[in-house]
Amino acid sequence: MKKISIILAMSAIVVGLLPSCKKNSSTGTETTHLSTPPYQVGQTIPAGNVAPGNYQGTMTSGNTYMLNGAFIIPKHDTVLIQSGVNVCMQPGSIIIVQGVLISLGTQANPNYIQGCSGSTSVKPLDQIGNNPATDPAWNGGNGDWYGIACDTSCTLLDIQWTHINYVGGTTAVTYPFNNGASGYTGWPIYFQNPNGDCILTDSWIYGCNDDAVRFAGGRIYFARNTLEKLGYTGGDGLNAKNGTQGDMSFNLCIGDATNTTKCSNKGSGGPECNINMYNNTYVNCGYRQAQYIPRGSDIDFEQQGRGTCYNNLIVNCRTGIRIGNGENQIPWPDTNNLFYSNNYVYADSTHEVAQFFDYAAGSGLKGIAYVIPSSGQLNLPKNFYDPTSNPAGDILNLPGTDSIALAGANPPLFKNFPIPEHIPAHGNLSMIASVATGNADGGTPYDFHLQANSPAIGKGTTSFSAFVNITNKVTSDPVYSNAHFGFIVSQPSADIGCYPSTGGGNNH
Amino acid sequence: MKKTSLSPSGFLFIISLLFIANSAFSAAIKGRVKDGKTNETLIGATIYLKEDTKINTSAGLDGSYLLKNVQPGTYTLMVDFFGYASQQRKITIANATDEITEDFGMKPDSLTLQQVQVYGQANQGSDNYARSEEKNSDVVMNIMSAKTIQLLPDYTIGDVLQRVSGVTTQKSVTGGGKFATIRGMDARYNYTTIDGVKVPSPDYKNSYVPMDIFPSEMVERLEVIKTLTPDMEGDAIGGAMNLVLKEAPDNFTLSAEAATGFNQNLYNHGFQTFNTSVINSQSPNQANGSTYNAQAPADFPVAATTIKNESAPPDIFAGFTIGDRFFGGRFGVLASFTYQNTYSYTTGFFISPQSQPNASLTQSNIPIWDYIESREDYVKQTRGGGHVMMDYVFNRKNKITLYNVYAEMTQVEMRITDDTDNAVRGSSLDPGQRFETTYEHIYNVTLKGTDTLAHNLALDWTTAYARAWSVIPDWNDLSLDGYFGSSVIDFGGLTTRWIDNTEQDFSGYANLTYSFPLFGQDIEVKGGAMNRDKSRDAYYAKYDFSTAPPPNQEVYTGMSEIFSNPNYYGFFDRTGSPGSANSYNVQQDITAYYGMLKFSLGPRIQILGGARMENTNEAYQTQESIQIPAAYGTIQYNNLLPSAEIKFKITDKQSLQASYFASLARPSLYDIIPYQLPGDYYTEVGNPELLATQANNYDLRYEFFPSASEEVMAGVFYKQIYNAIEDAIIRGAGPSSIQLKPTNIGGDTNPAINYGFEFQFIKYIHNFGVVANYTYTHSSITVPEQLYNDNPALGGFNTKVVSESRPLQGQADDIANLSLIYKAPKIGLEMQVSGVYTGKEISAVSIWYEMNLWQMPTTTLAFSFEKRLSKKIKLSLYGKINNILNTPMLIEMFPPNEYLNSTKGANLQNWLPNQTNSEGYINSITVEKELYGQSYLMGIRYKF
Repeated sequence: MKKISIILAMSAIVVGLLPSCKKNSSTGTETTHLSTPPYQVGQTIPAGNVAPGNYQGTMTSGNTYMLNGAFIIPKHDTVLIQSGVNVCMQPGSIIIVQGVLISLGTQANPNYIQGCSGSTSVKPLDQIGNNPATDPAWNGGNGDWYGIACDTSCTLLDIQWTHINYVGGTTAVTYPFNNGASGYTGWPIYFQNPNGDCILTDSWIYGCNDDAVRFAGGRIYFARNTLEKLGYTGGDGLNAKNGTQGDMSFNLCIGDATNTTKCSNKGSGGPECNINMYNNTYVNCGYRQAQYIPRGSDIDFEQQGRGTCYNNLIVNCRTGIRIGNGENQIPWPDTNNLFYSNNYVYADSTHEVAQFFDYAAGSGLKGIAYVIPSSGQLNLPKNFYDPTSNPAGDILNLPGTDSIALAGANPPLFKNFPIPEHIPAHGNLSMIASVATGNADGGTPYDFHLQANSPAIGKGTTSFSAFVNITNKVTSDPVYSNAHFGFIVSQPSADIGCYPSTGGGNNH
Repeated sequence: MKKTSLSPSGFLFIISLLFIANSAFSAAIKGRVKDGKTNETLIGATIYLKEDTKINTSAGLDGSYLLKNVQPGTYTLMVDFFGYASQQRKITIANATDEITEDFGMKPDSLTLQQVQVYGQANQGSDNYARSEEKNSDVVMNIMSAKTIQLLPDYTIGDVLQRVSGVTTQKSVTGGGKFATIRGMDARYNYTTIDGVKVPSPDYKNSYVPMDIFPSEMVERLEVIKTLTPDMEGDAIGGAMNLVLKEAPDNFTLSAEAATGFNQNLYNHGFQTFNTSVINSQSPNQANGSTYNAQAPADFPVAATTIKNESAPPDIFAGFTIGDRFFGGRFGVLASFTYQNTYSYTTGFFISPQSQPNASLTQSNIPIWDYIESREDYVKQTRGGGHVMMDYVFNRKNKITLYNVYAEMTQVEMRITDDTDNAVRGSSLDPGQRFETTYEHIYNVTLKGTDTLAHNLALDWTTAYARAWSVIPDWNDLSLDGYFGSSVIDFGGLTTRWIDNTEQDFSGYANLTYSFPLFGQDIEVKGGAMNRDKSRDAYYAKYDFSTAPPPNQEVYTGMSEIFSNPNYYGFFDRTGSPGSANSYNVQQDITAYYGMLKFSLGPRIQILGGARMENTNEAYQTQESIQIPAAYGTIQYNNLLPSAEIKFKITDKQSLQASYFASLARPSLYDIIPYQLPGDYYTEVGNPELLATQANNYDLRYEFFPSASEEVMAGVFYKQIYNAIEDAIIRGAGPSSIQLKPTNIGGDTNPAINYGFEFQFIKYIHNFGVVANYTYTHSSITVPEQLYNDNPALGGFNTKVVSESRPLQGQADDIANLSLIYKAPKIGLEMQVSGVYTGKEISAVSIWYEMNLWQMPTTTLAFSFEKRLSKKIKLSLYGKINNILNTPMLIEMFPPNEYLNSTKGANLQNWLPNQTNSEGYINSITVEKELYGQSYLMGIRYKF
């Protein structure tokens, strides 16, 4: 009925316009934007306080929903969140998806799913020297709520233009999803169906206490997101395990604790873990991981994981790219099926440079992962690290013993970001401003777009394409075959990082 | 090949030569001294010549005696034995080469009361009584008498059990036996009774009775029963352990003993512990209500996490028994108390396999490792136990017995670890400290009656209340973060738990026996019923303190400093995580009834048959939210258990016995709860969907009792076990975590098979005795296992499911015991060397193909002695040396790939510690090794 009425209305307008052309002598075509009602499934879920229990239906635009306890979407049921919805998660609440969850924020009206203590506009304390223990991003390590936990029966999680903030903490009771026993560490997204689809595009994850996304299987598409302050003292960003295949691209990753994008074939029962990581920008990542180097890398392939790693921009991060070499008994990735090149690393200090992950000749690994600096410039000792003088996570002001001129060399020329970052001696990168969306130092927001003369422009490769293995994406599902929301794939760009000068990358 | 060892016949020949040599030049008098009524040999009876008291001896272990160097003449041969009337006999020796034989059948002292005689209470702790019980029993049974146990080097019943034919024990942290595996069937398939009444378990992690809670001196007899008749509870597939307590004596009895000792490891090393007096017995949540937010340090005393050094304290052992009979023998009472305080120190290491192996194009399931942990355990165990037994004999037809038993054990464990955290060769080295105090108690009161209703109709009944409880208060696990090459250690987290567990049983049993003759045969009909209401209540609270984020990570100097500033730690779950399935209540109601018939076909064949019905009703409630599946539930099932046996008496001393019985093993009340608890190495989870295990058991046994104290037994057994329960390692929350979960194996159609062969031999030659047993067990179950491999045709690294056949967990193929005994009653000396061999067994099952962890064969050796100090006052000195060889407990993995039997494998694990490679080849990977040290004990025993 609705469709018919829309068609009738459109026909009426078109019919109405036809004669006017004749009357009017204006040049050019007139553009008309007609509102269409937001897409809705099932019944409307009443706004306001939402009691724990089973739900299906739609959360409608412009409303605030206060969730308590476990909000459960049963198997075969769907909950749709229209744009401009604020889902306020009370302490200890959790969203459990046994069926399907779709959040359709838009650029103009993004959705928020976040702890109630945060307001709809994030006001983080993004300043140099900020203490993580008092930063509201982590609520002292407690988090505000337990995240979106998808059961093995979840066939689709599709989240667009949505903020997912302040997740963390350990559950004290058992929740009804696989591995939901008490003691579950709240992750913003937990996805564990190798035959399901998990999509996060143009969204934000800010402040979580452990992994941001844990994939124990799934076809995934994670693109154009801002992933900021993930992990408190540990935890990975996008942590893909056995059975997970897909893309992680054009993400802006800032101030994450350990590995930001990771691929490991740990686990069993699904296909081999296979992730394309390309055109991501990583800034100040890896420093809140208290454990030894090389933990705290930004791109991590280990334990029989496979995939690609191209066109990534890594600035002032702890370990950069890490292709596990069997050290520390973390098994090798599937190096026969792992390809990497055209990545770019920059660091302010020689100690950071020394932690660029590299391999000596004879390690059995292919080539050098960086386009800048070039392989000839990287001749530091492999995995230089002296734990006695350099405790984990610490940045030291170097004595001038290191003659390598890479420190401070080849700055990527962001539009607005202070490089060098002027980290105090014995400072700690975990203290550094992390700054995508907030105001740093009271000034304008940082901008990680590249300046026109950035050396990162044009250094990437486009000789490959996105994985895109999503099968249940909303546009192809007959139930959701509606042009109100779509699935936009960003193919690789020749400009390194998530903001290609030609556009088409990260929209934030 | 030339045979160099002496054959048994050759040995006997030499022995007989010695006897001949001794008696060649003068006359000798020999014979045996026995109880005239029961034919029990009377070891230690004094035999002498009235005319020449220098010629004297005492009867040996087989009751035999030999008086040598007797000149021709006429003598009065005298025989004395305590509790018996002395006898004398005139003998005449004609020639110096005469050898005459004089056997004595002694009669009890006339002072012994008539009424008591009826009930035959004397001497039930003797070896001979044990043999005669084994001989006359309807079931297959092995008995250890108090006399045997007294001379054993063991401190607890858990240790004694390993010496019983077909039994192995699962060790506790101190190396002492804790749970028994009977004929390859682990603790879940067996049950424990005290005087036939089932005992609940105080253990918060299972429902098996920890056998190391009972000091070994507590019992009159330990019976291990391996076949069931319908009048016994039907939930044993391996067997039942029955502790028979000392009964009220006929006469005034008093004995006392005290001993001291030490552990070699501690002597070398000193002792570390912590202050247990500051511990709050209740959790903050219990003390202040479930919504209370705990505060540090107020609710978490710092002294409970502070190591205290002490010099190695000595072990102390004491025991006291007193008993008498009053009112003309109608009322008897016995009270017995024991106390043990022991200290031990165990060192070991563990290499943790990662939850998932590696693979290459040519090899599958290549083991890789998470971390290496070195471990020291300082353990103080204090056991106290007592029982008071009272009986009243109304008349010849009616008697009641009331007994109270109490046993407790307090274990204070200080564990100090160092592990390489998450990477075998990583750059961090993390110390850990565990401060754990466990209080375990078992109490049981039983009232029993036997009434002869008519001359051929007897009733016996029992009502019992039993309670077992344990408390683990303020258990602290402290983890610290260290780095190689640095002495700086940061605070890494503290987990504090309070755990309570209580089991209670109310039981009633009634049995009616009716005997009548039919066609000249004795027929016995027996029927009865029992009911037990059992409940279990568990409470679990956990408080986690985590490390603070940089820059607040704090150098660890003690918890007082960490607690001094809230920025130095994170503390999230201040209410102690209530509402989990780890706190629960469960009830079990078992009603059973049975009928059985026993009759003879002629003088040599006895047939016993019948059936037992057991109804099980269980209900549990957890504190879990009802949103969670299996938050509460009920379980109900009935089992009809038929059994039959035929006993064929070949001669009076030999018999052949064939039996069949059906039995079950209920999942323990702990296993059916959906709990989730941390284990030593893996998280352990429950399984409410567990089905009861059912079994068909077949036995064939040959027994030969050459004399009252000797025996030869040989038997075979065969068991089909449906829905066997194994602790399987499963993948837990997330790919990195693995869990241990009890799981049914094989279902209703594919039973596990367990068969074996048992041989027991007890032989005495005058002062020497040999007690030997050997058991071969073979079991097999087929389970699906995972194979991790790299196959490009299948898309690279993948997991394949394959079948693996393996023995049941905890089943050793070969078990052997050998004790050599020397007793010289004349000088009051007894000595014994005891050895135990236990073959290879699976200690932990893996989900990965051929990556199970195996406990390697062990041989342990112990020595003990007792020497009488004075004949007038019965005072003796005794001593024990345990674990003489300091036998290590070794756990090995035999992976199916290049690690095995290759030079490459040897190279691959060169960097793993404590591996032994021979010629560049390896046979297996050592993943755990524990050393317990020798322990010594010396004491004084007094008997009135």
